Amino acid sequence: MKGSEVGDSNHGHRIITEARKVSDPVVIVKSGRHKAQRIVLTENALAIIDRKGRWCGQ
Amino acid sequence: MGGKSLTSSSGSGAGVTRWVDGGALDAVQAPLTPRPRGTIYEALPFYLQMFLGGTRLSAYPNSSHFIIDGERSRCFCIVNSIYMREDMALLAAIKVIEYRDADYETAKKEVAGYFLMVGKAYASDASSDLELDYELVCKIMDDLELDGQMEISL
Repeated sequence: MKGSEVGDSNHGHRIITEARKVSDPVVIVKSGRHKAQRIVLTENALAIIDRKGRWCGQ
Repeated sequence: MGGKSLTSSSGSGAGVTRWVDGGALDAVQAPLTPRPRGTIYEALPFYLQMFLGGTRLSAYPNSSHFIIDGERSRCFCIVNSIYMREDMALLAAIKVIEYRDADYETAKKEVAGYFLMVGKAYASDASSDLELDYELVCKIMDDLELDGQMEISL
């Protein structure tokens, strides 16, 4: 477990999150053209940056 | 005798519908029971009583009233089915995943077979598709990377 202090953040292409309660997504305006969605997780929230695997074996 | 025509009045009670025969009101002017309002879940006891109880049909003076009330309830069911479809869509969005109890070797074979089949996938997808614990899948992927059978990237 890393990053459990207030203000810590994760940034990744795909983040798996778990929590007891999950809010509905809210559209936030990042810039004039770009928009994003935000959800708030409460009670035992956990976020993991997902990894992508590519098979290169036999 | 002229043809029958349908009139509606909302003076007494909720929406009294009656047949008029030749300009004169029909002798039997039984007000129909108002439809239940709200969602289909709130109306479910009403329909259970209607279809299972069998006492509802005796409230109609003749078959015409029953047909009118049936048409009205059909419209009510159509409207409520729209609300029910929205509720079902919300329920369908929540997918419950249960993890299987698999030992490490069995899980490793399944994960290797999964990536052999799909080629490139996320660990979370493998975890949900194989119904295996996410931590276990990540550990297996690390071991497969050490074996030189897998490349892991973000």
